[in-house]
Amino acid sequence: MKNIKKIIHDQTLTFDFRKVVFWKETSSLVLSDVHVGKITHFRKNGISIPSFPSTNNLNILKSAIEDYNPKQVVFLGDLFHSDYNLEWEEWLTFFKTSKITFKLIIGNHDSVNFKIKNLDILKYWNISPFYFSHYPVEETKIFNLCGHIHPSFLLKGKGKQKIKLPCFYISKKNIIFPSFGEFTGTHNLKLENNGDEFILISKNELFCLDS
Amino acid sequence: MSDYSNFKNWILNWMDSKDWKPQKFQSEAWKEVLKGQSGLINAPTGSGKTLSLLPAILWPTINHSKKTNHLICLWITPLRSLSQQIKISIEEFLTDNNLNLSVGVRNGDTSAKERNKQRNKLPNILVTTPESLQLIISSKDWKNKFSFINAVVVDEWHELIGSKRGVQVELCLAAIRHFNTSTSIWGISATIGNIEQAKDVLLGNFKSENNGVLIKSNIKKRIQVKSIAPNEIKQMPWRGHLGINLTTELIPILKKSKSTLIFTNTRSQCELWYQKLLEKMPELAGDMAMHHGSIDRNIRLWVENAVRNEKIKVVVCTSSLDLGVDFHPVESIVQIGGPKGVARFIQRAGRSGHRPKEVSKIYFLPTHAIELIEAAALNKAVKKDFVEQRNPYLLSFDVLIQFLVSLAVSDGFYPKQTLKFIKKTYAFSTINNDEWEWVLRNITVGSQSLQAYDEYKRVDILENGLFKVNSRKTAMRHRVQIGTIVSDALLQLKSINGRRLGKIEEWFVSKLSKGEVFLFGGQYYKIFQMKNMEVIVKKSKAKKGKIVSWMGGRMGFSSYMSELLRAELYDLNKSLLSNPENPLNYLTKKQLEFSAIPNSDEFLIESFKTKDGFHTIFYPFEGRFIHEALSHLIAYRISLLNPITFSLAYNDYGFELLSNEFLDIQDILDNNLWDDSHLFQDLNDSINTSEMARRKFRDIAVISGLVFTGMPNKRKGNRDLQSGSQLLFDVFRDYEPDNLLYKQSINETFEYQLEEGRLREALKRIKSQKLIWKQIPNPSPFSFPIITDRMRENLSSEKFEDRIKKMLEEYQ
Repeated sequence: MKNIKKIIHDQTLTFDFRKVVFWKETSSLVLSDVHVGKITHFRKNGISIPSFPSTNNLNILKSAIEDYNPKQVVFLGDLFHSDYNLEWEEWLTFFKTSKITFKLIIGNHDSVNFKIKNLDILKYWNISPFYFSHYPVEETKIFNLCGHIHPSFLLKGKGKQKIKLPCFYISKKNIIFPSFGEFTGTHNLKLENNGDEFILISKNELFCLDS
Repeated sequence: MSDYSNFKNWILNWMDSKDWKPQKFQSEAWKEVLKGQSGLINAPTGSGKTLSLLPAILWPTINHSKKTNHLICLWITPLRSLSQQIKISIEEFLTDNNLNLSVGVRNGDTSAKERNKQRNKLPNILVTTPESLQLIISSKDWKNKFSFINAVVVDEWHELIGSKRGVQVELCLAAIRHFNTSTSIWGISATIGNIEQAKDVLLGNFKSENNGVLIKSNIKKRIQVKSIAPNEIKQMPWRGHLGINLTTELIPILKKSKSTLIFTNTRSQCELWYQKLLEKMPELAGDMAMHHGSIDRNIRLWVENAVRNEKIKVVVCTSSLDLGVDFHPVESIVQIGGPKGVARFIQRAGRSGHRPKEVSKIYFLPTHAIELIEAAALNKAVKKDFVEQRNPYLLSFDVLIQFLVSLAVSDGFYPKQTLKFIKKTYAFSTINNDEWEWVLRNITVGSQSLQAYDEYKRVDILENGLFKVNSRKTAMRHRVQIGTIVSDALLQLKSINGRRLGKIEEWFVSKLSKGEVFLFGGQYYKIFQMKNMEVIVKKSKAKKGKIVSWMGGRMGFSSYMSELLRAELYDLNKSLLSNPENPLNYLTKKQLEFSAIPNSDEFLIESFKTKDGFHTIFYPFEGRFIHEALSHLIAYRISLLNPITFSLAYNDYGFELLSNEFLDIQDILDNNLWDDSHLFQDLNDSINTSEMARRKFRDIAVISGLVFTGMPNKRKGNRDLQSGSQLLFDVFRDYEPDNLLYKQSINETFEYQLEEGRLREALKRIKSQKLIWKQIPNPSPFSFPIITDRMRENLSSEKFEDRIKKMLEEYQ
């Protein structure tokens, strides 16, 4: 499957293999933890990671925008990895020249200390029935869409096989988003409660796994 | 009188007063040292090797009776615990002879106060480790500090030569010799299979007409091996590596000996044994201690001194006590579990009877039944006088990068001049211009720069062509990172009152939660708090808890050891008839009952089914590293025939392919499974999809500074600069496959891990053997230790998405 449509709290959410979710009712494309500028930040500090084109990340986002044609794009934090560096430029240009609007829920890595054109910076975004934040929120009343965790799932099979896959984690109280950026790492999660669900992401397909 | 006879008068006088006689190799060495010669001394620990060099090195200074303020002798030891010992024996020599010279130690344990003192003025004799030496070289003005050195001594060179620390020493020596051409270089080494080469590696190619002298002592150690087996071999477990059930067998030995060292193979095994012995012999409480690399240095030093002063009777330890610490009182040595190599075993045996001509006694305690075969093999090995080779590392670009940045951090370097002396080392004698240029590019522009906005910053090139680190942050981070011994991120373990207890690896802590109890240093602790890079714990009265474990390196049989083992094994069938008293007969009978024991012209494969799936076990008896390679190779070749997924496991005896479908060996064998053509290609294909190179890359990434492990004592380790080497490995593979560091991980895998040459030999042998394929209903005794191994890898030729689907079906 390339995408999976789900109705959550009467809203239509489409989970896409590009690690984005399209929310039809508000025409928003949601993603998390891009970590723009991470490579350059490392290199600036003398760590010689190959400076592979971070354009990859941007191109993937652009292709998703093309497919869903959203009115706005919402980043659930950690859009940027650290302080400003030149790697940010192509993103800033993209925001500036784009016809749609962009929202950033600020994350622990974002150190944005200047205004960015066409990028709204928020602490959180509360729009019924959802509550968008970077960190998972503990309050159970609100259905929370969040990032930060970089979730993945360790699939185990016969013959002691193991495969680790990034995933969306969907529970009764929240959806935790996978990290969108390359070179960001993941953290293994387990199914906690009955009814919880994983959407596992391989290179270009989605798989459902529920308890 | 000549200078030499003056010297001889002086030293013999002193030795006479101690009632010692110079040995032949000592006199030979003195002569050569006084001539200004360089070389290697081949002598076992405890044979007076320090005395063979020190007096002659100091002689010119003593003779001119001038007080000197300079460093005149640099003494490099592989272990911190050794430094202290060497210092004491040097001090003894100096006081005895009324010499007004100072000795100092510089290593990771040296206090900040002492280090500051040394920054202003170094002692006349400095005892240090390779890492600390490189740190000195990365500080300003190091050249002047070293310009009056008479000699550099590298102690226990056999311990360094087969590791990247050896390369580090080679580079540091080259730099010292380039700026101080009159210094001589001396090594001291125990016997290894390639002692001549060990000398060449140490001395490099500095004086082409003269490559140094090799001085061999003719001291032979007599070693007595006794294996401890239960009266009833039936009591031996078929698997496991702890051997705990044999604690009772050890009691009489501990009671009989004045002092005993118990060697275990891993730190967690060490913890467990200490605990079990205490339970069995509570009277040992004040007389027993533990020593392993993660225990805090103060506690370690205390233990070492206590053994020396006969204050404690028993020490349970790991390889942390392998090296020269001079404990002459030790009476017995116990080795728990297979030592994996003859040289290591002999060296451990040498911890007892640590005086010339005393007999060394070692007890071998096998941890499972099959190790009894190993015991028999070891027994034969020590009787012959032959030990393994230790192969030097070549072209380790990670170490070179670390070294060059060190030079850049201190006074800076000029590439042309630097290349000249780097090429004189054994490790880099073949470095070509492209590689050199690449290394320089790596530290200045980050090797490749695809994008216009690149901001790479590490080493700057000044206008006069000097390569220099200007950023203080970069310099600081580099100094923290120096060292080539890599372990997982380490966390400081502290008791609630602030006492430092030692270090544990982050991955272990991450499995614990607050309040959980674990065993460390022989004491149960409860986790109180985890903060930053510290774990705060409280003592606990609990009687049970998790055992701390460390990833550390797993060792594999050397080729010599596996040869001995096979010889022993092929004998089993015969000895069943000829020697009814053989304690191994029970094992032989059991294995025969379930399956078969191969003769020298046979090769055994077993197939059986359990709830885990279909097991196929191959028994080459070649040691775990060769099996690691073979298992990948064979799994890969089989997977070419049919889409299939394997989980692989291996130990020193054989390897297992576990799959979810039955494997018809007869079918497979018709496909030239053991062919050694295309070996390189096939291995490369199977390794690319496996974890081996990835693991090698972990060390390389840390050494070359790609992975930053964080500043000690800094509240928040530079989290935003930390990344896993795993992640990096993928990035290199996908975006920069011609990166020399990435390539190095693959080369190292082939040369040091897969031991390609050995692998070809093994394939040839197996091909010539007759195959015995046993399809059996239950696992055989031989297979137990393998199938229960939990360290596993995968190899698959199925489509990735198909595998996920299959696994999901099984899951639901």
